[in-house]
Amino acid sequence: MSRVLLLAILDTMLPGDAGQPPLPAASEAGLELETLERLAEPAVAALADHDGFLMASPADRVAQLRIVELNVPDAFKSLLAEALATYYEAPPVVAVLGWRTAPPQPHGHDVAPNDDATWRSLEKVKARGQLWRA
Amino acid sequence: MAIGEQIKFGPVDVAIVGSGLGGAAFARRLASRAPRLRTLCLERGDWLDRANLPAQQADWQRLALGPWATSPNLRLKAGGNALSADYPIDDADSDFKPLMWNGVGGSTINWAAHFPRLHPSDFKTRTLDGVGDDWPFSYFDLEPYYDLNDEAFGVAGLAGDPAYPTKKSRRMPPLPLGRMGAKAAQAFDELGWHWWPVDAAINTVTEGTRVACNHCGPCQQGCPTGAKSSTDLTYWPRAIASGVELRTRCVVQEIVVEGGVATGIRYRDGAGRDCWQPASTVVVAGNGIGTARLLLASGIESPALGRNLMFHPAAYVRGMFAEELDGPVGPVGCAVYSHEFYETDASRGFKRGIHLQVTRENPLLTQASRLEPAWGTEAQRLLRDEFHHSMAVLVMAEDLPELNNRVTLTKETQADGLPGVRIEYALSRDSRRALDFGMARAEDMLRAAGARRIVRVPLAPYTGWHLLGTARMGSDPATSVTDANGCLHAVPNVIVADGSLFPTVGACNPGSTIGALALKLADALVGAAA
Repeated sequence: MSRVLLLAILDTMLPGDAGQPPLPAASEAGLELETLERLAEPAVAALADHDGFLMASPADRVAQLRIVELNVPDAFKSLLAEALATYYEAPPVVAVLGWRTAPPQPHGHDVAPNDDATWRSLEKVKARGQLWRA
Repeated sequence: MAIGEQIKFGPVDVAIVGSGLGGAAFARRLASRAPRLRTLCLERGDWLDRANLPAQQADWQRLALGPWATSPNLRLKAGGNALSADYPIDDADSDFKPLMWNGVGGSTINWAAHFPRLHPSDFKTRTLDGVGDDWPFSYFDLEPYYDLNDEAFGVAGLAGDPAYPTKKSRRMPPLPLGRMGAKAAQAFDELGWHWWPVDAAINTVTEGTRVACNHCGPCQQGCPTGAKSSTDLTYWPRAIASGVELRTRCVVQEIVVEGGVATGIRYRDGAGRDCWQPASTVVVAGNGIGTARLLLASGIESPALGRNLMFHPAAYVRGMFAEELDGPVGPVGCAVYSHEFYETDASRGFKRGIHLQVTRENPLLTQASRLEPAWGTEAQRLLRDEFHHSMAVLVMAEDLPELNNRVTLTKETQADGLPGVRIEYALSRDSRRALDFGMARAEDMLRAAGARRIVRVPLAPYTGWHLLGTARMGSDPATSVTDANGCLHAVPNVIVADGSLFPTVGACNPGSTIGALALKLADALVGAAA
């Protein structure tokens, strides 16, 4: 399988966007491709015309990949799961989405302390009296 | 000893199967009240290794969907988790998929530690509403044990909730609500509905060696800091210090019954050897699936055994907001809840009620994996729209007991030596009505909070945490499996001490009640032995 074809498939799944900041396409996110290459084999085999896929417009590529998804659903699902995991763990992608690339520990996260106004609104709840039945 | 020969241990007074909430609470209470009893617990899995949990690793999101998933079936599919001795569960015919942990601490290892009590009305649904069955005792009979269990777990929360009888002051202040929780609280307030910060079995201040929660997020893959309570941190150190023996990697194969009396337990140890453990009393606490599986595999006959499986039907409503919220920060299940619609109101068209709980956002990869469409430009647009900008409201309904919802054995023998297990569960029409009603109310709240887009998830299959009802308490052996003290009608020196006992389940999380119930049952055993 050519890397070009694999990246074209991945870019169809994960095309990125032009938001602020822009989300990179899969081929621009620096993904590790070895596992994806192996998992993509059934999908590539189910793709009728490799050259045609590479030459197709983005909309046509989506249509062709939908047919692959229908024809080899389990293999496609495995490929998609790995593609999503690899992409959404990639530091450039995580950073664009405003998230931290380091694992949750040991630093944890800050959460704003509760404000007095929120707690004061509980007085109204208390004022309703017993809500339970026995 | 020759190869293949059975290893025989000396007799114990009490052998407990399972080290989760019920088994641990029972063991600790027994050791405290009757220290002379020889008490042993057999646990099929292993101790958690807190130095190597997903939250400390770069690929933590991927691990949470694979070997550290909350579903044992998903963990097995990903190659298994060495610490949780999982067995496959045939759940093809169940609307909800069972979630659990099969190691020391049981499902308190990967629970969210949301720690509500049942309401007093939950104990008498037949009397009050003509549905389900009454428990053999009241909320107020269990109340002292709720307090003891709270003390052991260390609850963070706020006293004074009018949805409940007065509870003792919570030992620690509530978890911070964050921007998301505060926004939800404001919306509940505008609607004039009940809301309250959750009771959580999570440290908000450092106590001893257990630090305060630092809001890292993935509670359900084990808590690396020990801020979240689990029985390996709460009950077990004290029980072991009091003389209880906890043997890990011991898979119980059979409770041996002779002439209507249990004589002991046959189990397979970590080396695969066949072991015999005589015991005067056997306590089973393997959750609503594991307990029924073992009792059925042991040939125990009881018409209601395995039946009346209850989960708590669950749906979600998710609101997307223009402003940035917290994202996947803080304990996953713990922000605020509303019991505005918890008690029965006949005008709604169903009996009993619902629990609304504002939960935290999922990690990025989990959210990306649940989009519809799953890939392409639209999927990425949706993810951009919701990540850090969403609020999820869990709608949980009361499940009522139904005979056809059940646990049965299959004809295959699984790798753990026991028969395979299968569950059948179909959402009832009343549960569907309750969920639909609850989703509409959740939507009301999200709109009041200013959500710009709302998505309903009418059924959330991977919420099957609460495995309840399959060995229910009662007085009639034709319709119940145990008496009020958890003793099997068929074999009175076998006691069930987990959520299997619940005749009905209320509409909120059962952990607090399972712990309290196990403490009460241990006292009953001590009382009977005195």
